[in-house]
Amino acid sequence: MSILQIKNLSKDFGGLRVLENISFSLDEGSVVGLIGPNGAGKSTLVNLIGGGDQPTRGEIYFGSRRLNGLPAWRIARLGLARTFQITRIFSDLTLDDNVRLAAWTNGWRGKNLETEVARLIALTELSDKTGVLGRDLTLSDQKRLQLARALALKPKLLLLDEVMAGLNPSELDRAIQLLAKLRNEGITMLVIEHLMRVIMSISDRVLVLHQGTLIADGPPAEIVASSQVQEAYLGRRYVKNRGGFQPDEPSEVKEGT
Amino acid sequence: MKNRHLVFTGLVLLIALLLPLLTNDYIIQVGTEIAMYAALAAGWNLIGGITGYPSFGNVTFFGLGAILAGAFSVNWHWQYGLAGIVAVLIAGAFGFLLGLPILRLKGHYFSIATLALAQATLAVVTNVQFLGGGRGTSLPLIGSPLIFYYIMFGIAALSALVTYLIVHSQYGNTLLAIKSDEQAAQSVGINTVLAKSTAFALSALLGAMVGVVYAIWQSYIDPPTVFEPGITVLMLVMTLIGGAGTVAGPILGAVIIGLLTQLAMAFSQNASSLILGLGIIVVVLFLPQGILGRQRSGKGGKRKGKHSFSLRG
Repeated sequence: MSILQIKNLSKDFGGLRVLENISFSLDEGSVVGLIGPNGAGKSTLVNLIGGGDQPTRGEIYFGSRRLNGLPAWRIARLGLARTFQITRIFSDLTLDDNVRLAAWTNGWRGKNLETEVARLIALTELSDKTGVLGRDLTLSDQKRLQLARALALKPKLLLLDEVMAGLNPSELDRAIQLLAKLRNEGITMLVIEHLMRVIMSISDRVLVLHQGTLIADGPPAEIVASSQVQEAYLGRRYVKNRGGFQPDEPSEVKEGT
Repeated sequence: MKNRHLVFTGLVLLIALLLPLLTNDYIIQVGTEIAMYAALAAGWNLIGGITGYPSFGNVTFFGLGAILAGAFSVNWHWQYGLAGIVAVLIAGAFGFLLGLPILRLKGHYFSIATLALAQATLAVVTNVQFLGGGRGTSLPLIGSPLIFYYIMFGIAALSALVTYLIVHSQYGNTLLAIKSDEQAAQSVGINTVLAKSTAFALSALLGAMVGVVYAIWQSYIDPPTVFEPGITVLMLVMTLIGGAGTVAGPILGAVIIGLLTQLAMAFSQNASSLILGLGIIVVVLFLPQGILGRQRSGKGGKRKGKHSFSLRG
């Protein structure tokens, strides 16, 4: 059964078409990777799904619910949580208050609230940072915090926009394990990531965006073998050293569109 | 920490309550004014300090409270208490409903819109006979100055209590989250429009309450006086000097500015403006977060753990 359906989605910014006629659906419980060069439209797509912006054309369904026109907070309350590529945390609140507020907003109360907050902080390995103000957290901690905060929404669908960028190899391994664990809990995920190692190890399926259009959609092995994807994104070097960490495209944190 | 707060609060209350017994009418008058501005600044702090929407039009609610209470009691012969309650509720509803569109604006745009709101309300009030028009409204003289001192003081204490309750609640965290990053707040399910408008309404309620008492205290009100933009500026400056977003900041700011103004007036009328101006410059340069505000320590800040003395009161 599909949990998310995107139908003929397009987005223009003024005269610039950023997304063109995108259609796909996500099966419940699946983990789908979304890759593509910087500027391909990945973050814009996530933004449209999360209600941060409205599509120019096309429709988005979450289950049977049409999301077009709904404000972002209402979409979040339906169980569709997201993280941001450029971290957005509540800098005036402590780490635990960040998570607590998200959980409280979504109905956790009293003792359950505290238990859940502690669980999420432990799950994202932030227990030693409780009490630290959001503004004083490192980038990697902020990324984890965003994930903990998103999980506080008890999401059915999680949109992860480059949560792994900036992690060192051992942190990366643990993050991959964490996502695998979340998948086992039945959370559907759409994962934007430049790190092919991550995409290959956790995705059931990969979507490739290039210049605003969906150029490939299939199992990871098939995607890696696709000459069109190699041309547009992975580069030939990736294929030569199959299993390399990332494509030729630089993956610094940049505001993707 | 908590004990220190309690002792401090107790001390302030004791001094404020006993002050009238030890002093003369002049001091009581100054005390009433300080309490009045403390309440107004605390009201401003809810929207400007905690939520991060610097309103330049909060005098609108002060003015509406004064004008409406006066009009209801003079024209419809309502008891002043009833007139006051209705006026406060109307001003609160006005704040909430206006907040819905106005709080979509951010930063300077919001500030300018609120400034325009105050001027537009003044223009309407001046042209409506029922509200006193250009003539103003005279109210009966009642009670002694001491009563108004205690009432204003009560409203100031109420404002501080409301602020305290808010910053120690998840609602307060909601407002702080909105101040930090509104889009992120929405992404965790916060109805930011509702939260902001509620804060604006609370701010309006407190402002109107002060206006209602001000009108009967002065026994004469005319629109240009109660919609004077300088009143909003004072609320803002007091809050910034004391520490925006803190519980005690606006009150401390009101006391400092109130006392400095009186001292300066002893020398000359103009000296008070000069001192106010210098005070603002000093605070902006050396204490950008206000006296009780959390000062950012160099790059990124090293402060760990709970907030310093101020943020949570």
